[in-house]
Amino acid sequence: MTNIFKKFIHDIFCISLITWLVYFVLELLKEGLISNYFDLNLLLIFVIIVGVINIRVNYKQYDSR
Amino acid sequence: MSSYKYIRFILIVIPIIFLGYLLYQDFSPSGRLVVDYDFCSLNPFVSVWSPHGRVLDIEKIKIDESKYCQQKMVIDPVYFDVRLPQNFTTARLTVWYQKSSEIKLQIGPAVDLSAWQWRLKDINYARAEGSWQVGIVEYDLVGSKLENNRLHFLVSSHGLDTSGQEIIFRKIEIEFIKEPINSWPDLMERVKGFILFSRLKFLFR
Repeated sequence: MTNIFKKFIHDIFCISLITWLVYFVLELLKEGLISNYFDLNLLLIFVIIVGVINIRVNYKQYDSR
Repeated sequence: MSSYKYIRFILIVIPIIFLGYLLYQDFSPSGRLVVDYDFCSLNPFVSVWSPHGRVLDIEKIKIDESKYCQQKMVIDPVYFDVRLPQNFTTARLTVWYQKSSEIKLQIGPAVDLSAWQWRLKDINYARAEGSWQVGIVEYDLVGSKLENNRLHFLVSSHGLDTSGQEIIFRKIEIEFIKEPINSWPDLMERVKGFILFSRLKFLFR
């Protein structure tokens, strides 16, 4: 169960980060395509929070201090 | 563990489906786009009215159980613009306002900003909603030039500043209309229009 949770968090982070990047590029190509209907800042905040959780959950063993 | 791949599949598919929804909204295959601005919060389609000074600060009103926002215009003209995802042929404007009958009100989109040409039309009383007057007017947008995919509107009330009166606006709603997609040529034309409104428009130049 713990391994599945770790994989889930890692996948959520990767998928949301790639999604944000793709949406950001599309917004640059066509202004309003994303921002008319959805605030990308909310997704960015989500990516950052999940990223921090991902580091704590999946990379804590590399912290040797 | 094998069931986890289904979870991963769903996680990947969700943003793709959402992107498809956003593209569908932007494409407007039905040929209709309705935007409204109630002055309460920023709107991605409709800009705030400017310049400040000719319009006063937005007021948030609470009367009994109802809450709404309004903005007063004291000097004319006032401008706002609407960001459009593509070209439309007709716009139907509905505006909720309060003014005295001797004050004239005209609103219209820009035809050619460089030539300062506007397609102004009188906003006449169509119906009442409570204490608010509602005016409806239709514009032909064929030939209107957009600037950075934005259609500029002008709100005019000649002599408003010298009269000492004001016009109060509660809400505007604009319905943009064009031919719906009925065939493959229509779809191709819509895709071309979609690209012309993006940074990829150099492909057609």
